[in-house]
Amino acid sequence: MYVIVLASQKGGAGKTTLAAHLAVAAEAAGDGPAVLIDTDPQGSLSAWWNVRKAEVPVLAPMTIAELPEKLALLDGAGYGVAIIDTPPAITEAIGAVVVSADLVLIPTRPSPHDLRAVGSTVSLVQGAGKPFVFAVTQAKPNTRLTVQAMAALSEHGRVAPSIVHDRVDYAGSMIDGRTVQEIDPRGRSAAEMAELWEFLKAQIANGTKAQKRAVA
Amino acid sequence: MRSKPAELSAGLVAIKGAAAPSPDMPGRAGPAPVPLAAPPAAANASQPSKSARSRARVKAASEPEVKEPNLTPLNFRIPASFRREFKTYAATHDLKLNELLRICFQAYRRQKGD
Repeated sequence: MYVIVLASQKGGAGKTTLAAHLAVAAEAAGDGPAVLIDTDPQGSLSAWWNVRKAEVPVLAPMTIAELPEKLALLDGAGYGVAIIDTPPAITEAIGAVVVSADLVLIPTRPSPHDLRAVGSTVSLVQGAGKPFVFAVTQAKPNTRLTVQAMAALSEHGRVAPSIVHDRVDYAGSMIDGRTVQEIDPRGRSAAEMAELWEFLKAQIANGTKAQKRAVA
Repeated sequence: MRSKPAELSAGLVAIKGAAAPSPDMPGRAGPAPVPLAAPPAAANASQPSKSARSRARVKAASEPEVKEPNLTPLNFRIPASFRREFKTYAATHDLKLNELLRICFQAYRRQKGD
């Protein structure tokens, strides 16, 4: 089972929205079963899941202390992907979540405040020795700031080529427990999520191959 | 990645309507920021400022303040003269507008015997 942790010190970057959408994208791409884990005390992901009619992806409740053990059990039960949402902070508890990750996704808005805050998240992830990628979220189409943000982030690590644009349907779709893929499967937002998932999958696969080469 | 169906895993996954976040993750609000230097008024704690004394007197006369994390706006229209008088009274007694409103409401309820 591959474990993806969404982490960002900055609030409102889209961690919860991406967690839900990526889990649905993983299921749609046949890479599931996907399981969501909500470690944010705000509980937005749990609230979304509670009103969701579809049974997949599932959500697994657990404490931070139980995380390694429960992830192993979920792996044994046949789950393919675990996506973990975290609160916007840099704490030891988030460090404890990050150590379980195969890949850390750092969503970042193209704003100076987000870019300034990204350093502490990167330090935390690098301290745990985990691979990470950035995803630019809530970007306005065709803006210089988005391009500048991608250039700035690429100096620190890999940036997902699929930009997540600022569209109302991301928030709107989550009102009743759905995602953009379910509201408008042929829409631009659904395509963005599918592309982002494919990128993350490739990153995990590359990382795994590199690890195997290192072991050999 | 595997795509085989997951085994039945009762207890591992949540039941609809009962999902909740990890209980042992610290809250979003971090510890209160520590001031870099003590403010001058705090240097002599035995002599609170005049405004602090005034505020303490008003609060002591009212119900203990209830800390509510989520404050929401309360909007209604009042005459401009009443607005000015209300705001002036609050400022004179070093009260926030919502504190003064709460004190007034509590006093009214006491008067009515609620």
